[in-house]
Amino acid sequence: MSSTSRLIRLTFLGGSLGTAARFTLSITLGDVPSIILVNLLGAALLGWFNGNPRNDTPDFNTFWKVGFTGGFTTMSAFASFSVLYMQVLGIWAALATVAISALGLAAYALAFNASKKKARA
Amino acid sequence: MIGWQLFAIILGVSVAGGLGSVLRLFLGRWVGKLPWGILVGNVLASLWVGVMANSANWALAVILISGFAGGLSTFSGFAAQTVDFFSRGRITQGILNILANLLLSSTAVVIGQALSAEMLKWT
Repeated sequence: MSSTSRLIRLTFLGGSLGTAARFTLSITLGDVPSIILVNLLGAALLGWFNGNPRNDTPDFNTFWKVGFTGGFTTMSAFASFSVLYMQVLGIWAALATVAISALGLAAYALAFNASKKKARA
Repeated sequence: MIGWQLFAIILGVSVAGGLGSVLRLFLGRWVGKLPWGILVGNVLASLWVGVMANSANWALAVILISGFAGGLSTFSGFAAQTVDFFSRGRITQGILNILANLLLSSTAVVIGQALSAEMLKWT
């Protein structure tokens, strides 16, 4: 199997798994809570993966980082519901969008630093 | 929803998500002053969600919106790139990345919805 073919297969598998997990959560929790949860959880998971240098292998990067966390999180649904709620709630929905994004960045940074600290210990 | 129907939808969403992720893998290689590939993936996926918003076929819409567009777009990649900019002291790039992803993705949803409404007039 060529290197590119392997990357495609691993990305497809990871992306399928992440997408299925996100969709199952959306059925269970509802759209908005699940979008917030998957984006915060997925950002933290990617931060945790990236914080540990031992995870920096082509297969791990492709399956877990590009595939799974990429498929698990979603910007399109986040933007879609932001637009929907902005039409109803106006500036408050815009502020909520910014706040959730900031929380996502914080989740990534906190998990990254915790993982880096753990890897060094 | 009957069990096997739900299973078929989850399977369809999963396969479409895998395909969207593979497209994102290739787009993600386009990196410059900003991670253009991730940005383009997020904007295209958001446009797609807007276009599919008025779809009459519920199952197909779910598969293409939650599956393909969800797999193509990523919040985690956006967060990772943005935090990386900030941690390297590239504050302007970090802020631009946030603004570009949030504003362009939201605008793409609105444009997609408008396109969808126009298409409905013609059918």
